[in-house]
Amino acid sequence: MAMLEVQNLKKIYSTRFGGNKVQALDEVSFSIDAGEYVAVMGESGSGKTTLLNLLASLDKPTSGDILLDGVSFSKIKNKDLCSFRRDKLGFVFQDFNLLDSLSLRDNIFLPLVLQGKSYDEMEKRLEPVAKRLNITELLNKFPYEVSGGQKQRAAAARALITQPRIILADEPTGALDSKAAAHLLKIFNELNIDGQTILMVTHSIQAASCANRILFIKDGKLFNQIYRGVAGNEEMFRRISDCLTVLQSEVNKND
Amino acid sequence: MTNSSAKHALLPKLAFSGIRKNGSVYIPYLAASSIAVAIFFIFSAVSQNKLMKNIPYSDYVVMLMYIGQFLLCVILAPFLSSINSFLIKRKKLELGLYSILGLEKKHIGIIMIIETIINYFISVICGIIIAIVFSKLIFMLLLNLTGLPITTDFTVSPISFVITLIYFGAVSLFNLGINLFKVSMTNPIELFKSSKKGEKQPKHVLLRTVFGILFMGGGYFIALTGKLDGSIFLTFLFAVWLVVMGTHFLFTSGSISFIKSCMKNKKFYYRKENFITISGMLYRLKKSASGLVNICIFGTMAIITLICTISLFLGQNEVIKASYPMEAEYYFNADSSYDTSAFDGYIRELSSANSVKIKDRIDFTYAKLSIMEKDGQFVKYEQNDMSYPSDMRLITIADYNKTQNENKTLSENEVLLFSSAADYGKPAINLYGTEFTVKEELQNLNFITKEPKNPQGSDYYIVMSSAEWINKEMADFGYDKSSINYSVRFNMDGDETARKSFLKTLDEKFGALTEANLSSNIYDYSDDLHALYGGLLFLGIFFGIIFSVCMILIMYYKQISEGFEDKANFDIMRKVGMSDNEVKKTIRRQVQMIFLIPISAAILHTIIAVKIISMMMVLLKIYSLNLIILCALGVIVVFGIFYAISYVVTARAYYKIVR
Repeated sequence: MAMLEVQNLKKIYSTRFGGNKVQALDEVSFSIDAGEYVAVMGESGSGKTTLLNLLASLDKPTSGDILLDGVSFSKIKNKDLCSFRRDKLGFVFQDFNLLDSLSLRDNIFLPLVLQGKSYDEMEKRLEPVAKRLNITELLNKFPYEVSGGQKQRAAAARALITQPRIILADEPTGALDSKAAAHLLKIFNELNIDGQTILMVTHSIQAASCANRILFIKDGKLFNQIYRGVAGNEEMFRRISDCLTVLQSEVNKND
Repeated sequence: MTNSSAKHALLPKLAFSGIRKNGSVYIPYLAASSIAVAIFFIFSAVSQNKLMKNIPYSDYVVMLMYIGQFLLCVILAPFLSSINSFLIKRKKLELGLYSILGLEKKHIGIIMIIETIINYFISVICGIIIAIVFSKLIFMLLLNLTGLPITTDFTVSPISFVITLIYFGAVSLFNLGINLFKVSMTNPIELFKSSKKGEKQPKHVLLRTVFGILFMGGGYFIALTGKLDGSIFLTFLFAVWLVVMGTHFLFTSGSISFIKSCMKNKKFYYRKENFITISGMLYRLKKSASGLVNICIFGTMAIITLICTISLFLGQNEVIKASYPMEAEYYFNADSSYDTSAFDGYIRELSSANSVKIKDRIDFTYAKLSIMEKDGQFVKYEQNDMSYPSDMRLITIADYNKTQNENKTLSENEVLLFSSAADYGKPAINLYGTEFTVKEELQNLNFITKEPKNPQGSDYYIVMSSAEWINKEMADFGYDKSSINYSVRFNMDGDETARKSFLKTLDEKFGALTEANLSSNIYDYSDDLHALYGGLLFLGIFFGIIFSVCMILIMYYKQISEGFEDKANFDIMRKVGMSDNEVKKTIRRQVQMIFLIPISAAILHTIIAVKIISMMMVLLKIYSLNLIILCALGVIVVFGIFYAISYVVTARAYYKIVR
C-alpha cells in the first residue's frame, strides 16, 4: 500500500469578494510509497507551492483528499493538525526558517520541545542526526554565525529529529551555492538509502536529478512523470531537461 | 562638478526615503523619542510655571521638580540609546546595501547625520506639541474635576525650550557618535548580517552585580538612615540616583544570571512554555532590561508621588487642627491689667445674634521673646547669627493655673517649661545668665499642640512664678513692654456658617479697638491652607498621571517592538508545528515572567522610601507615619491593579501582532 496517497486534489483560490477564481490545482492524483524519493518540478505559478502546502496540511483542498498511512487529512480535527504535522511530517524550507534567537542545537530541539520530550531523549536523538548531517561541531553556534549550507543542514536535522514519515522539502537548494547544494543533495540521497521518504519541490534540474521519480506539474495538472529505473544522475539530468523542453514548448504552443 | 552636486542631492534623498520606507521601525522609534521629549518638556515647563511661585514650600517643590528633571535625564538617556541601538541594528541592512552599491563610509556617515537631524527635529517638534496639548488638556480637566481653589494655566517659558533642545541635542549627538562608530567598525557584509545578530551580552556580569548591590544598598542605606535637616532633599536626590543606578545594574546582571541559570537547568529550559521565552529574553537582553528598569522607575515615581499627594490631602485636616487647638484667637497689645469688657460685650452681642455659643474661653498674658541657644544659654536672637531663632513665651503661674485648671506652685527661681517640638529634657534652663530650675516639663497646654517630630525649632512656653520675674527677664533680653500681649482664645458651639459669620463680624469690631493686635481663627486658616495645598495636590495628581502614562507607554513600546521582532519567530514555530494554543501559552508565560519583576522592585523601593518620604512630609507638617504607611498600602494596591490592567492590554497588543 502506498504511504502517501493524493486523490483528485483540487484547489481553487477565490479573491476576497468571490470575484476571480484561480484554479491552482486541478484533479491531481499520485501516490508515494515508503522509501521513495520524489521531486516535483514545474514553472513558477504551476501549483507546486499549493501542492506542498496541502501536503503539509497548512491549507485545505477545495476537493479531493490526501491520505498518509491510510489516514485522511480531512478527517483530522483542527486541534490535532498541529501535532500531526509535528509528529509525521518534517519540513525543509528554502530560506531555512531557523530562529536567530536559538543556537543550532536548540533550533534542532525545537520540534522535540514542542512534543514535550525529555531532555535526555532529545540528546540521544540529536547525536546520530548531527553526525549524519555533519554539524556536530556547529551545534553551539547561532544561525547568523554559519554558512547557508550549514544552516540548511541544521534545518534538515530539525526535520529529521522527529523521525517523520515523510520529509517535505521546498526548494531546499534554492538559497545555496552549488557546492553546498551538492553536499545537501548527497545527504538527502544517503537518507533516502537509509529508508527515509522524501518529497522535494524544486526548480533545479541538478536537485531533481537526484530523485528516484520526478513529477512535472503544469497549470495545476500533473503533466508527466519520470522514473529513474537504473539510470544514473547524468542520464536523469538529460531526461529531465528534455522533459522541461517539451513542457516549455507546450507553453510556447499555447501562446 | 555635476557629479558631485547630484551626489549631494542624493544623500538627503536617501536619508528621507530611508526613514519613510522603514516605517515599522521608525514610527515606534519616533513615537518613543517624541514622548521622551514631551515628558521632559512638561517637567521643565511646569517648574517654570508661575504656580510654582504661589504654592507653599515652593522652595521644596521646586527642589523636587529639579530632582524629577535630573532623574528624567538619568532615565531617558539610556532609554533613548537602547531604542537607538534597536534602530541601528535594523538599519544596518539598508546601510550595507548602500555600501555595496558603492557609497563610501563617508557618504553613509552623511546619510546618518542627515537622518539624525531629521529624527531630532521630528521628535522635538512632535514632543513639544504633544506636551503642550496634553498638559493644557490635563490642566483644564484637573482644575475642573477637582475644583481645587487655585488659578493657573499651563504656560511655557523660553527656558524650557532651550533646555529641552539642548538635552535632546546632546543625547542625539551621543547616539549618532555611537552609530557612526559602529558603522565605521564594520564592513558591508557584516552590516548585511548584523541585523539578525542577537544583542551582545553585556560583559562583566559579576562586576555589574557588585556595582548594583553597592549602588542599591547605598541608596537604601541613605534612605533608611538619612537625618532630617536642611539638606534632606539633596539626600533624597542622592539616594534616588543611587537606587536608579543600582536598579539598572541589577536588572541587567540579574536577568543575565537568571537566564543563564534557567538555561543551565536543561529540564526547565527545554520545556515548551519556557524555551522560547527564555531564549528570546537572552536575544534582546539589554533592551529588555532597560525597558524593565524604566517601567520600574516610572512605576516607583508614580507610586511615591501619589503617596505624598494623598497623604497631604488626607493629612490637611490634622495640620489645621494641630495649628488651632482653639478655634479663635485674639491678641491685644496689653498686659494682664487689660479690661476686656468692651470686647466681652461684642462677643455677647454678636454670639447671640448669630446663635453661637462660646465655650472653653481662656485669657492669659504672655511676653514674647525671639531667642536662640548659644553656649548652653538662651540669648536674644541676632539677625546675622547662623543659628535658627525660636520663640519663647513667658507666662505667669497664675495664668497657667487659670487656663489649665491646675493648682501648681513655683518657688522664686523655678519654672515650668513646655516645648512645642521635641522635649527640652534638661533639669535647668539658663535665660541670659539667670539659671532656673525646671520644676516640671509640661507635656500639654490646651492652647498649643505639641509635635515632638517637628524639626523646625521649638516654641517654648516658660511658666514663671510671678510677673516680676517676667519683667526682669524681658529687661535682660532687651525687650520693652510692647512685646507683652493679652490673649483671648475660645471654642464655639453652633453650625459652621454661623460660627464663620460670627467670627467675621467679631473681627471687624475687634479691629476697631485701640489695643487690637491680631486675630486669627481656624476657618480662615483652613481656607488659606486648602488654597495653598491645592497647588501641591494639583502638581501631585498631574505628575502621578504623567509618570503612569510614561510607564504604560514604555510597556506598550516594549510589547509592540518585541511583537514585531517575534512575529517571524512565531511564524517559523507554527511551521514547525506549534499550535495557536501553544503560542498563546508561551506568550502568557512571557508576560508572567516579565510582569512581576518591575512591580515587585517598585514596591520594594517604595517600602524602603517610606521613611525618607515621611521625613520630607514632616516639612509639610504631616507628622503621622501611620497615615503615610496607610496611604502607601492603598496606593500600592490601586496601582498594582492599574498596572495589571495595563499589562493585560499591552500583552493583548503583542499577541495581536504575533498572531
